[in-house]
Amino acid sequence: MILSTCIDLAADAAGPDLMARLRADLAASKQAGADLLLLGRQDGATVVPGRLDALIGAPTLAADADGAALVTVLPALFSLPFHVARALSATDFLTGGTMGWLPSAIHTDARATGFGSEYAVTEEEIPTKAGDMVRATQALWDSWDADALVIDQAAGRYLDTSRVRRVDYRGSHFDVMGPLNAARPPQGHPVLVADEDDAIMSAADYQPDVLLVGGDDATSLSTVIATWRTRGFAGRVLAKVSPDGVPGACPLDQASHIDGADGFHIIATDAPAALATLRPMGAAPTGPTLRARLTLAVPPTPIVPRGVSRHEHGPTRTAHLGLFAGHRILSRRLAAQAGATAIGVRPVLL
Amino acid sequence: MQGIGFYPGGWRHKLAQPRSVFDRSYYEEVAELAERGRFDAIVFGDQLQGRDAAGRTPERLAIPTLDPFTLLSAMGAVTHKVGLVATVSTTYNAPIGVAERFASLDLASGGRAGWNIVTTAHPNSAPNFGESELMEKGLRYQRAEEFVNVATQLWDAVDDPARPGIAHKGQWFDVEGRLDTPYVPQGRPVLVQAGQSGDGRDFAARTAEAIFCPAATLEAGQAFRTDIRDRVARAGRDPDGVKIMPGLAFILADSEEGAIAKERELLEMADDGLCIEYLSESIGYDLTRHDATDLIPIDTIVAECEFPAEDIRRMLTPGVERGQSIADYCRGYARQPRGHAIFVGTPEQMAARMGHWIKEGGCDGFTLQPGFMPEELKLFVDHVVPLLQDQNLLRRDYEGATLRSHLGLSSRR
Ligand SMILES: Cc1cc2nc3c(=O)[nH]c(=O)nc-3n(C[C@H](O)[C@H](O)[C@H](O)COP(=O)(O)O)c2cc1C
Repeated sequence: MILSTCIDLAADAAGPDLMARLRADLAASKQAGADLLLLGRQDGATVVPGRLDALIGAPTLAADADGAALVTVLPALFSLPFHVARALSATDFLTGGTMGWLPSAIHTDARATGFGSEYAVTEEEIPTKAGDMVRATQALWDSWDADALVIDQAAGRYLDTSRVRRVDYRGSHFDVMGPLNAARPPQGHPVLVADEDDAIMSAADYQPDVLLVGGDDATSLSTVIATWRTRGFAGRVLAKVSPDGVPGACPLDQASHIDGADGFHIIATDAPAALATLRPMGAAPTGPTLRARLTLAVPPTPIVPRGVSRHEHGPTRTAHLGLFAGHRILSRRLAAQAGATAIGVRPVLL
Repeated sequence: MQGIGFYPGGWRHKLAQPRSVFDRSYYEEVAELAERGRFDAIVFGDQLQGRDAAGRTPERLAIPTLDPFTLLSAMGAVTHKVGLVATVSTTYNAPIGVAERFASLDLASGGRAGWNIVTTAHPNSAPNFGESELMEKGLRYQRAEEFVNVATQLWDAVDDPARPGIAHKGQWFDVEGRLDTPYVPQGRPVLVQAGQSGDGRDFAARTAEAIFCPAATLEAGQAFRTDIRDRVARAGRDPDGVKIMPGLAFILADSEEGAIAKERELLEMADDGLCIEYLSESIGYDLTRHDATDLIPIDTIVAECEFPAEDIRRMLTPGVERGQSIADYCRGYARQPRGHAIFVGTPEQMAARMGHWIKEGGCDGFTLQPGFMPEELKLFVDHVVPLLQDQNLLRRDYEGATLRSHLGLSSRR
């Protein structure tokens, strides 16, 4: 039985005490039996990014979490696939293959005005862009095969070049050439977690490994789970439960009446207490990686003939700024500033 | 730091640990070592492109580079004092996202974050962010300047919960809002820069508090430092508020002959195949397509390489004029990676040389680049650090707990 809960900077701590408090909260949740610690916070029954950037929080807390798995909750609409793929490759290595991620399509006014016009999306684009961010990130992980690293010091052979390739991903919002300058994560892809209430679930063909599902009582939650299973959802299902009367989460004392769940996601001001009441209902999953603990298959790398890049890029590319379908992080500004071509670049190898 | 050390063949050394760079324990060990050596900071460079040339990733170079924010966060978790400087691009990010990540690193580490501000110079970075080409350098620096300005406003607003947040309207960015991070111990992370051109130096003079640069000789260091200090003064800032820390690669042994032999050994580990891949990657042209004994095919390279043709022609012309083969030229190139000063000798000689550079105004400090990791760093900490402490060139213990205080920079809080 899998138990998960969110962890974030406490709203009632301040200044230098914030980190000490976060570590103490983490230790208490771990002690009480949490398997998954989502680095994010609850907005009602929905998981949203926390006040501590999860890509900093995860490696910072990796040593403290040892044994429990960390899940970074990220704002999918305000993240770039290349950066996310890099960071999660590194965290998956540093945690020995126990990372998960929950890309959230949350789109608040505060974030929208903070990120400005370069990141603007229409209402309809929200799930599309969020889903595209996830696929582009996964495509970058797929630019390295699992067996690419050779590291033979005597022979001087570090990797098998036929196992690394440009992916040339072209999606609705993101174009990414690759390859990633980071190896394929130990789990292939870190475990993809989603909240049923999140707009990202409306993205076409979105397939998380773990799904958090809600319902106001055990009966309705059991029905929701049965519906997901009927629709063919094959991953792990965690039922949202709360002792605090949160709409969209089942009361904690009905947890044992929920059918079909692989575990519980706890929404509570006192998460350790709630974890402690649930833990006796089932043993913690064990295994070397998070995928193994959740009995999820390792994603295969796409089959590409050895030594062939799926898309051969010409040696030179011509400028067509603003025409490129992609994130266009700069195009709008550049279009206004004519004559942008790459000049004066010195090769710098670092 | 990056990867396994300064020398491209270093990962093959018997004391190198090329597999351990994927383990948290390695970074924890290195972080503890740096803190034991009373270093100001650990710095990771960073790249935003696959390390391939025309789609072919080198086989003989230790290529994967782990994300700096991730490594530094893990290193911060096991240390208490040493600074954590991450390299982050202003070209392929949004100011509020970067400001938030640094605010989080500063919070998580108790005030030890620094930002090495780069504008990204590799043309293959652009297609990883939906662009077909890198924008021109002048524009990149313009964007960088406004980017840093916005980030600074956002950090400053954290301390002032009464303020509604910032409302910035500029040439590049319109940003309204505030960070979610509730507390930034240093007020602002330390700003680090490494530009070389006039634009780069002016940008550094207006914004940077520490500068990383190559300086192959004392004279080059003095000239660079004098120039930057002039520019800083002209920008209306205090030249002492900007610390200049050129790269210094090193190989140590208890005798000079021992160190020279060790360097030779390291250079020999870079066989022709490795050297050819090394140059291929840095010019964005796959030289492994040619016979290693061929003369440098300069016209083909210039026509097809991923970097601007005129820069690559300028770089290769001396080799062409000498009539060098591909292998000969590449071997020479791999001996002098990145234009940094290289020290090969004993701990006493190294401490003396560092003291001499400081005394002669060649720099304010050093960005050390161990020949390979972690062995050379250990030698430095165990054998050079005590000598520097005896000369009063290095603290015996940290006085403060923040990177700002280690560098003697004004507190922004
Ligand atoms: C010593 C040194 C270290 C640098 N480190 C990085 C780095 O880690 N990542 C990066 O993208 N650029 C790095 N740069 C590149 C600079 O930020 C800058 O983009 C480049 O030097 C071109 O600008 P310039 O002509 O003003 O020097 C480095 C430059 C120097 C001189």
